[in-house]
Amino acid sequence: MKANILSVGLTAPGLVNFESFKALMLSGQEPNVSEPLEKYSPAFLPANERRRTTATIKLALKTAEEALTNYKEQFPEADLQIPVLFVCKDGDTLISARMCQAVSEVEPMISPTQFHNSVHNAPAGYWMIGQENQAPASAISVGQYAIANGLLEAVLQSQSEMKPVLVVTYDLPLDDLMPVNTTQKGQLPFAFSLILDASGVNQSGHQKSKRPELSLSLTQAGADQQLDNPYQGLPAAEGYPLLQAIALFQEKSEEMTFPLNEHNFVKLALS
Amino acid sequence: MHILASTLVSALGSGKSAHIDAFLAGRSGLSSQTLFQQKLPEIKTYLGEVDNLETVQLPESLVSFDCRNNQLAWLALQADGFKQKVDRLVARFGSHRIGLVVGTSTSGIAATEEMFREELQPEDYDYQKTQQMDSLAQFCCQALHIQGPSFVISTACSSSAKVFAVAQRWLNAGLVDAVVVGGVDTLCLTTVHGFNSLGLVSQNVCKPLDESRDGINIGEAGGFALLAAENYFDETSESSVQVVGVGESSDAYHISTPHPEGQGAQLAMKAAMKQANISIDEIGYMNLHGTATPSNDLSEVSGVSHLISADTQAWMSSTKGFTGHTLGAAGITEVIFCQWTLEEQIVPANLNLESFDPLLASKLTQSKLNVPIETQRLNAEQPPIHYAMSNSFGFGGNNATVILKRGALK
Repeated sequence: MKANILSVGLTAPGLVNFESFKALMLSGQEPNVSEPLEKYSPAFLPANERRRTTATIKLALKTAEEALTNYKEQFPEADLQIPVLFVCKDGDTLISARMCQAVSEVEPMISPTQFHNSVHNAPAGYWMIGQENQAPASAISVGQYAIANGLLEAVLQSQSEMKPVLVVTYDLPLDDLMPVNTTQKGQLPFAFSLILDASGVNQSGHQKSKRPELSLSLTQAGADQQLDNPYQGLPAAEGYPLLQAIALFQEKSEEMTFPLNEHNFVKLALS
Repeated sequence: MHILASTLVSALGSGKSAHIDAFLAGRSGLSSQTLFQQKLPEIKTYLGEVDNLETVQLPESLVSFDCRNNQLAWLALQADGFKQKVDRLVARFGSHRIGLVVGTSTSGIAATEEMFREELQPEDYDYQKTQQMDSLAQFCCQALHIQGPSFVISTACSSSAKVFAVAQRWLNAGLVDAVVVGGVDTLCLTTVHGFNSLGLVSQNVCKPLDESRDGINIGEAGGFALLAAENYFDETSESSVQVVGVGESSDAYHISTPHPEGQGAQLAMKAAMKQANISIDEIGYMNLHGTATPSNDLSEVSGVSHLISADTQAWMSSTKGFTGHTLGAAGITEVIFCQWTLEEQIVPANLNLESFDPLLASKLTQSKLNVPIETQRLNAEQPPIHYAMSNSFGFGGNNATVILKRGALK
């Protein structure tokens, strides 16, 4: 399976976007992971909806918006009604913890906004409203195997819908209010987005030069990669080596493997 | 795709025959006196509860997944010999050649509720295997020894309808030889209180399409289907039903209210019919999302009204009066109902309908759509149902339609 990578977005502590990450990588520097996430407000949403977005929703929307903005600049004529896939392990755990706390009170009270924001596809819903996009939108959770399963789904959907697909993979640490041990709370938020095109429609008429093509294949042979990843922790951050390879892309990349599950892998390469 | 096997547990009971019996008897699974209601003294409503679910024992190797949602998953996997049929295909093709994609809206969040309510000891709480959104997929893959691609779709009430689109993509790409699709959602306090805060929970038994409908009754259900590509022939398959169309769309309208003319719903139905290569006039039964909220039923029937013609002659019902709204499991529940409709030529009643909403009726006057008050067993004189369609819509304006086709009769 092959797909062109038409656009990229990236948000993490110390990384405001993919361009700044690329500049760091090209100059051989490391991101400063101790910086907070950049403030963001989804200006493309009507004021009513914008006000209701949470930190989790904003992280997903910011990263989606970056990829779409780049895409629009590169392809001003392109159809923007493209399917969207949001991949996230936990969803908004501040909201789920607050709701669980509320139902333990003597007088349980959940607000309507809290409740509709609690669905795993809340970012997808806001995104489609803000973009006036009626294409299919999905929200999935794959635990620690987000990269392999998420990319596979996005590429297959692009093939079957004959359109580019926007895939946003984002994770935040569990909220402090969650009744779990602290190791799951200290991790770094990380989000990246790709517009992948396996339809063939955008492949002609553009120079092949700087736009990498992603190849995927399933394999039973693979190993967990021990790469230097300053964001290591949450599943979305496992995409770091792929983002590095895109940033430094020349002609061909090394093969990377990402686990599909405990025993199987997806092999990725850029060419 | 062929449906090689399926299974369903809901408030109506466990397996196909329990459900068919309830349909024919017009017996609802909804009650205002369920065990779960003891946790909900503040809210007067009807619920569709699976009896004795809390007593289900998970096998030793899976006990860390223990929560109401995975208990229902386990119960459903055992019903109608489903697990044995999956085991046989796993042995035949290899575990890495079977995929699994399941839907849920709230996963095992009830476990976290119990933590806050001090009903669960911290040493008995495992977030990753209960509330974490992919818990159901992890659990089912381990229970069924599946090692192909796998994930959870969580798009609120369309979750377990969208799983059919993923299965199609995997099978078409040749990634796997078979796919287990399904969905499980179980009663929890956050959803009942949440829907109540939106004013969407009825104090009475829910009445889809009725003039006096005033909201949903929440139910729980777990269901699975085993799917294989069209060219796969299994001599042991009991069903001749195929999935021939899946359509997905977004409303892009409002986060929790459907578009009044059902614009997104129309797009999903059209996409499914396009894939199935049929017109709406070929559909013999439509299982509506039909939640019994004023806005959903108006939106959905409006959406249908824009697609039908004077030649449209189909049965149409919402089965929410039997099961309640099973949320993330509604898709799989109602697709399996459509499967049984095609197999048995039985049309489930639109239970609790007393006075068909004249506003809805006015939208359908040009067609011959028939809403059955009682379950119909079609006789030889009546036109047989060849295609059945199921709609599922969720928060975020997320829509999915699945169309099934009856194969050659045995």
